[in-house]
Amino acid sequence: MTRTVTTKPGAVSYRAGGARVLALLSSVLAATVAAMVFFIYGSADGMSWIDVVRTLLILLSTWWLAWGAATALLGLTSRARPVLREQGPIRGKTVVIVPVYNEDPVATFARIAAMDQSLRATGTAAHVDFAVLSDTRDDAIAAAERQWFGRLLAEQNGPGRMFYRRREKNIGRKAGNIEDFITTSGAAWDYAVILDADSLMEGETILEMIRRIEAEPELGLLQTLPKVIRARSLFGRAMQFAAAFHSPAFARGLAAMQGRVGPFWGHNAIVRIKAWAESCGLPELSGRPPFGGHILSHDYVEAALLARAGWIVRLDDDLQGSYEEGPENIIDHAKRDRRWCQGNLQHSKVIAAPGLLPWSRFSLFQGIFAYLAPLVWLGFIAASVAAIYWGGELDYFPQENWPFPVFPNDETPKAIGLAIGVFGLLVMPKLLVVLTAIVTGRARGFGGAGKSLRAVFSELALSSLYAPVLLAFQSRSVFQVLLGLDGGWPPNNRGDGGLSFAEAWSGGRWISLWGGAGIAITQVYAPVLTVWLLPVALPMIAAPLVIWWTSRTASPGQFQVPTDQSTPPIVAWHDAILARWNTATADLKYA
Amino acid sequence: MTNQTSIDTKRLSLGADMPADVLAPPSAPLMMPKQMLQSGRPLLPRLIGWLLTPVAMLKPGSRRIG
Repeated sequence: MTRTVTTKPGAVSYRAGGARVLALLSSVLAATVAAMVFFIYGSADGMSWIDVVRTLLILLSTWWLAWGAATALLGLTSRARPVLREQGPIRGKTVVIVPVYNEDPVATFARIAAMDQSLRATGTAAHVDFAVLSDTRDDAIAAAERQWFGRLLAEQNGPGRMFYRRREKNIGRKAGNIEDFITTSGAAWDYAVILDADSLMEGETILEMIRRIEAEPELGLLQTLPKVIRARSLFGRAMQFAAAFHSPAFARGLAAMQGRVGPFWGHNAIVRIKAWAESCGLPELSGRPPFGGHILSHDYVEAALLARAGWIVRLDDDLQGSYEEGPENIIDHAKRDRRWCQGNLQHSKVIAAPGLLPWSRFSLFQGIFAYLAPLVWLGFIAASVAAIYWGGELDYFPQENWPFPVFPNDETPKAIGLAIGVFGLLVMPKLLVVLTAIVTGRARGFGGAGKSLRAVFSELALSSLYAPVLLAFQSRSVFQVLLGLDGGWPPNNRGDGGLSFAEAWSGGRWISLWGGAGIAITQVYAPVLTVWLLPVALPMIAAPLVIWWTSRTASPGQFQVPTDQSTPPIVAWHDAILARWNTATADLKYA
Repeated sequence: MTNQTSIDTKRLSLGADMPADVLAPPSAPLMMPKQMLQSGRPLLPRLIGWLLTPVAMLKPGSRRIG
């Protein structure tokens, strides 16, 4: 047995430390400069407490933008981390876990069949089993799960290596589902590949993950960067393009900073079962939901607990062949986001847990701040309106017995410079990603240089259009959680995703109302700001239209991604199996 | 593998007919102790730890605070 060693022990730590210093210093510096410029501009007509509030809000929001930009820049300038991998035969036993909750059993089990075929096609001898862990509450769907699992067993010769069990009570939701499996059956395997119902992984990718975790006894969890597939709507295609085109740079930057303390995103990852069992038993948090009770966003916490116990948690962004599906419209995105919002804000109860590594705490903080950032922007807009309302008329004759007017300094150029700077932090990483893609030839997978550029600008325009709508949904989620409203555990809608205008109207009319009220208040109390707020207010007023329009099927070739040009083998297998099974379903229904 | 409907029907009934314990994964229990996530420590030491976190964060894996 040979082991390829391509890096010195400890090298990762220095690299990660340097990357963290660089990102932290540059983002803090950018935020400080922005805050100082704004303070000079805001207090040109005299300083008031609201100027201080606005400056603090600008400091926070610019730091957040700059942190994202710094992550992307690190990603663009970093190389892939050298990895250890076992070259000999695979020794450990692996189980691929597929937790399901009221999912479509035909599509889900066809994915398992496809992954099994893909594993066999590698020709590599490895012990890899599959376990479907059903938390389905709907008895009709559960009956269908049993039926289709029978078909899966028969077609894949699955008895003894493919398993299905349904819990009577879904205590602890997905984390509880996996915990139940580990405590009753975990000792039968060495590693577990954790998937979502919509996950697909190439057999070769699964084997590569096993080789990497076998080669590093300290590696507790290895996360892949899943690519979004099968998007059809305008919203889904734009998100899919952004994930495929921009995410690798951000993920590489994250990987450069994380060191041994990487992320877990809940699926498309492999874990060492021993490490998981001894580190990841999640307690119920004290108090009532939404902050107390079972931990909703369990993945971040599990990653932090593994790291606390000394296990390496790592994102290997070089691993290909890992796929998932995404929401096809803004409403489905908002539903998922509501769950994530509650889960991330719940981390405020966990962030001070004893013994957590500082980077784990920072990751939890980032997760929380991701949902607070929209409120910071909203607060800045509200404070700006208030500043003008309370600011009153300018006093051009502040000195008694002085006959000439005193004009405040014109700080408009500073304001314009600040706006350009903030916009630059948003756009610059994306532009650098596209330039790098053109230079390195990666753009070819996205239809070439011209098409990539067009897609990047279209995505920028489209995301600018729906960003205020998402901001409204996110803000509502945060307020709901802070008011103590539990969002529950709605199943994911993995269907076609097209919405009728009535559905879009029903889901987005409250945003129209708030957008209209906001611009009316601005017009009355701070009319000078009305024009500046239109880019936010108009998409909000038109929210139902935006939601409906973006849920429509995209034009062919719009937001092209590499998987459009050549369908990944695992996706082709899944398509073929699903088509055959759906035909059988239709025949059965007809009979 | 076949796509004939008559055989498919037979296959589809297979899972429904099988007893749950046949389909279920093997019994191989593993202990999973509940982890400590909330501490009752006084606020001041925690706040001091928090203030030091950005410093310690720059040296990955080297220190634990909290």
